[in-house]
Amino acid sequence: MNRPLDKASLLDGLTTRLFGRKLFVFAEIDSTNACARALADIGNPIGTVVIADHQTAGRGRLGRRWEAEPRTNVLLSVLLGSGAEFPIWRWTYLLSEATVRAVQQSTGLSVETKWPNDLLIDGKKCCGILLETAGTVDKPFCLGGIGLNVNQSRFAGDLEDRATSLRLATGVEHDRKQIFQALMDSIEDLYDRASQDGGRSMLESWTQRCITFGRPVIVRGAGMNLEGTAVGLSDDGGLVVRHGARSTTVYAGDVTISDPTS
Amino acid sequence: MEISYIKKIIKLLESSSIDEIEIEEEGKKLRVARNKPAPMTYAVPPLPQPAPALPAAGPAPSAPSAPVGEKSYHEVRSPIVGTFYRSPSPDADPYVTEGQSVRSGQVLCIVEAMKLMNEIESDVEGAVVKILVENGKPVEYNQPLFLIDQG
Repeated sequence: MNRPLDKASLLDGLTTRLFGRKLFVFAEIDSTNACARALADIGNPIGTVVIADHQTAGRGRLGRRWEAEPRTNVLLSVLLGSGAEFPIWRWTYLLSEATVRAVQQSTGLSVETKWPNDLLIDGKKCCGILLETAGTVDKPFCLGGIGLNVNQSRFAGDLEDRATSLRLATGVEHDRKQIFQALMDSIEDLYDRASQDGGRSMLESWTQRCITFGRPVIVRGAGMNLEGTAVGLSDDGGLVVRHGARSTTVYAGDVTISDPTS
Repeated sequence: MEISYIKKIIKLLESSSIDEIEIEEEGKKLRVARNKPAPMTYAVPPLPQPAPALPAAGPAPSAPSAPVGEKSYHEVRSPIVGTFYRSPSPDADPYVTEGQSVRSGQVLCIVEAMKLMNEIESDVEGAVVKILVENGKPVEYNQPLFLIDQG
């Protein structure tokens, strides 16, 4: 049974200081990111979360549609603050790492990441993360949207080979409340540590999980057309790709690992 | 230079991936540098990186305004390295077109880096005279993106 999300229940037992304390729960919404942006505009604090049972206009990168069965997945957006504590781009890896930890803790599954922030189980994507900045130079803010496939039971068309859910990976249904709370805990824990060390330990941990490094990759889109070997992260968070005697740092685009079987 | 201006510059630096910024204005020079942590170590050793990573398109960043013909225009520059998009999605209308009036704070474009979509706003009111970068192309830090006629 896929029960709807309930605010009192989501907050019951939540032990975080910031993340998820201010919570907006919707049965249906166009886009949690759009709502979070509006909430940030009127002064809501870091850690504010918008969560929905169903998104009618969920978006991925470049406005790509994000479809999900209602009441099955964890679809939320969270306000991430101004980047005063550490460079704002590190949030992309922080959210990725936090989601991995929450999933592993809740399910025992082994989860890998693919640059820049996708989560993979057995090579199939189970979570997409998209961040946005807005505000002004005076008062910038960043927010992140997380779409984690929890209890979705099937994926249509060619998605079937590329997408999975925690339920499909484990064979059992998972409690979305428990995963929500684990996620809030792990974001807060990583945020607190990153505020101390600038995100170093988080990046090291994330890098260990990333399957992209050391692999041959093809980079397309975003003005890129490149084949080479992904060798690591640059100091400003880009993917360093070695091709011949040269290296190029990739900041955006579609990165495909070209030897998926090895 | 006013304290609030200097604070703005510091914030700009903090929210970007750059380490250092230097501004010269009316004979006064301001240099803000990040406290560099020790080089990060990653699982895969970084290779020596020759040459700038991405090709720099368009004019090199230099003066605060760029002359086009006789007149000089305000430049809106990219605060980060990334990919330039004129619209929120490929099938959406562009945020702005040449000739259009914009107000201060209006979104002009997005620069994407690591799935972080950075909205770039105009810091002045005026008319968009020229869009200097093609949609979907990489941009460098501080690269001019738009010329704005402040009238």
